[in-house]
Amino acid sequence: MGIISGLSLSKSIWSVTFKMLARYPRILLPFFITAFAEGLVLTVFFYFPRPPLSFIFAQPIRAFFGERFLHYPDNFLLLPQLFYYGQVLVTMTVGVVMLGMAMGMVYEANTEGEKVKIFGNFNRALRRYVTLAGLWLVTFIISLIILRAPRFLVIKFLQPTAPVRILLQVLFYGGVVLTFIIEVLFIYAYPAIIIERRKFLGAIKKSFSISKRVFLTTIVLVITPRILDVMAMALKQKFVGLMNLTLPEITLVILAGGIAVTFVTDSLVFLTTANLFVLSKETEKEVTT
Amino acid sequence: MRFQWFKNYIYPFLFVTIVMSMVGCDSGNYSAEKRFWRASKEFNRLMQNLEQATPQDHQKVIDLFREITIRYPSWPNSARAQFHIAQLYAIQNNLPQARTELEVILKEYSTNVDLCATALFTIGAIYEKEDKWDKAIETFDKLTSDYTNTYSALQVPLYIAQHYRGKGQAAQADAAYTAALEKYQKIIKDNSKTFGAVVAEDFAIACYVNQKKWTEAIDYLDSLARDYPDTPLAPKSLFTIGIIYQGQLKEPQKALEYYRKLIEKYPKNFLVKPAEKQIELINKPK
Repeated sequence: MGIISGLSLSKSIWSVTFKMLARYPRILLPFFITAFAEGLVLTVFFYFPRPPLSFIFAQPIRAFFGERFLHYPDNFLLLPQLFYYGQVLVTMTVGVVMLGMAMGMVYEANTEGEKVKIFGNFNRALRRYVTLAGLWLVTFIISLIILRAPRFLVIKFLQPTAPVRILLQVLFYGGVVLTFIIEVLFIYAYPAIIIERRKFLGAIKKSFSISKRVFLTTIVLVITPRILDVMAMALKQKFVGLMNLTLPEITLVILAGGIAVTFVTDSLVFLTTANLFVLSKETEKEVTT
Repeated sequence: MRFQWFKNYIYPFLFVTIVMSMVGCDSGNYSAEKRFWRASKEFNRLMQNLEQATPQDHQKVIDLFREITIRYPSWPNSARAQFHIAQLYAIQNNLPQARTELEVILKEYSTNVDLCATALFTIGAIYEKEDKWDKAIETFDKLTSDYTNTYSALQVPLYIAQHYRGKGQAAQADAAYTAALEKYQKIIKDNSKTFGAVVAEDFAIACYVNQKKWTEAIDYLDSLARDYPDTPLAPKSLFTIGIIYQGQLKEPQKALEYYRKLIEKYPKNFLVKPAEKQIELINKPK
């Protein structure tokens, strides 16, 4: 596929997705539920130094991170890290089920016309939970290695000079781009698991095959919204400086903003690629008939 | 039916979450910390622009700290807020009011021993500033008798000696330095493994430095390194001897000897890095 046709296909997919969302806004519900769960986790971690939540959290926080993080304003220094762990937990539990649910809803919106079921798709995704979670775990571990391993090696073997600090930044953003490419390779596995009821390896194989075929389009569909994520990530990296400039509570605002950004980007990335999956499935059908 | 289940659980849950978010679930300590942080930020800002600060600016910060002491009297850091109030009055040269505020610490926060000692020391320093030296001595005596093992109490003998030196009263100053040194040496001898001994060593060094008695200082520190090799006093003594040889007596080779001894005997001590830097400095071609 050429560059022009690749770009024009992504434009069409976006248009199809927005039209679909206008017709069936409930397709956003799974992403909203995930964002709500993340918001809840953030609320809990915001209140952890205070009773009654401190009765649960004070001991582990003291043991793993230190006493000072139980007090204002240092609790805000720990908040992003705690929230990251919370987000991982939410994605691994609620997130993947909701993602599966959204895949099913997209398929119904494309094929069955009027009725896009909520509970039916929720049940469908729940039944495939292990496969969905396994797939997410694989991509998560690969991304984690890409983002953390080079940084770990540089910090371990090089002195913290100015060029090394620049190298760390380059490695970080390079790692982010690489994780997007990993996402591109695995992204069609989710609809494959739900729509085609494929097993773990079969879904990955299918995803690789579609990604290879429409690589440029997928890259555009994934990376364009993810630019917002990168911006949010860059802001999160500067949170200590922002805390000093303004108030410690700015961390909470940044993290809450991050949830909103993820809601938008995840919806766009997964819904557009699911639409592309359905389209390529239909094309395959037409070719075989 | 499905939605009924949803409503039964989700609505109360949402209600609790929203109420929690709006009112916060606080015992008071967290709010006190928050207010203290904000007041301290204002305090630091004021300190940075002290020359441009108006009495209203001072009063604003005093009010912020005062609110903490009123709202959260039992919060451990309320005593510190009270201390900052006294500091702010002292900065404005309202010394009687500063003293009154410090006396509140002694009355209201008597369990906070270290801060009470600091408050008493500051009261003594205020009397000194008001030229009421007798009252100051009285306060310092009370400090050394009531809060014996605190940092402020340990500081008193050196402070008294420095007062006489500052006033140009050489004979009293010499006597006070001798008394101070005797006291510090006794503390070191009696409690060589405690933090108090390390502080006393610092003050003893300050006594020698104030009097410019370099060789006496070296002799005493050498004896410490020899007599207490297994305490933090020894590496510190070796490092300080090095500094005196290098900076005051201009004998870099002797300084090198002591720095190397420190590195060799106490390779894991935090003073090894500074010692290595000094060696580098000495060996640097001029």
